[in-house]
Amino acid sequence: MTGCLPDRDLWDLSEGDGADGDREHLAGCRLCQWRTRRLVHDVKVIGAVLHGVPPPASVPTEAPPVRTPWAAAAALAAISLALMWTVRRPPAARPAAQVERTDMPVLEAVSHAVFPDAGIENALGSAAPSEIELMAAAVDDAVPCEWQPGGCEEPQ
Amino acid sequence: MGVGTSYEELDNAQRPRVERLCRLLLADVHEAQDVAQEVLIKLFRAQQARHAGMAWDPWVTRVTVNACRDRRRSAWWRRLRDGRAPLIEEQLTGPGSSPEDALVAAETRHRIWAAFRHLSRRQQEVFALRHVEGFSTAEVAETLDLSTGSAKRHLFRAVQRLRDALQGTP
Repeated sequence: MTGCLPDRDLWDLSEGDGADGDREHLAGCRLCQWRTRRLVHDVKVIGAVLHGVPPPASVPTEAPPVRTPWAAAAALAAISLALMWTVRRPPAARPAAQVERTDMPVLEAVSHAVFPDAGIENALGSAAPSEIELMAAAVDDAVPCEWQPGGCEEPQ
Repeated sequence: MGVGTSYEELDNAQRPRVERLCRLLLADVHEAQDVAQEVLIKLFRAQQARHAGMAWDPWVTRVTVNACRDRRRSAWWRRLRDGRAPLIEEQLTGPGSSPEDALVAAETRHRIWAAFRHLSRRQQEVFALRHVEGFSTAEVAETLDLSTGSAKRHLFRAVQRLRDALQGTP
């Protein structure tokens, strides 16, 4: 079929379009004439089939059917993941010290190894009285004797 | 169909085409029936409004194609909710099989319908209007808001795939 027209050109010619050269070829080529007749016949048959009712059995749609349980499970999993991500997301303004202790345990261990007295910070931290404690001490007269009106002398 | 057409005449003339187009463009038989009913209600309202000089054929075709598109867009969630309803021949109304149709083996008809369902939406619309409803290519392009060249391209691709199905080529 060397030199014969492709289906697309035959289709154009059958639709009343196409180039003059193609039309001349078709007029002189029995094979292309037969192919064109076949093309037109096929389309007529297809049109007739589609003009009627679909066959009894289910005809699949253009998209694969969605399987409800899988879709529901996938949706549930996606929602769960989103929820977990939202709940476990770190808060925006976390204190630096807390971040250091909870998120960088390796650095904390190294720091303790290099500076073994780092625990003093905790000791000082816990010894530092709060304002409430000072006020309570004042109320209880638990003020150093030097600061009291009688000084540190033993009462007679 | 002129201005003075009664609704009964209009319905008799348009109903088979509306139902056929819905059946072609929607895979689900219940959806096809629903949409056909919607279109016929719109036709009734338009007829009551007595649009002077209305060319009903293109109007009904355009309204039907758009209604089917809308239904296909919203079909995904309904499938999710209900699952798919199978097509049952007894539930379908419309013209009987043509002599050409009767000559085609059941298996081939199956293949052609399956191939048609696997065409793109555009290819389905173009083929249905051109070779089932008998519109000219220019009318198809105008109805679907396509250029003539684009309509021809969609049409040829559809023809190729459907011929493969007819000949049993995978």
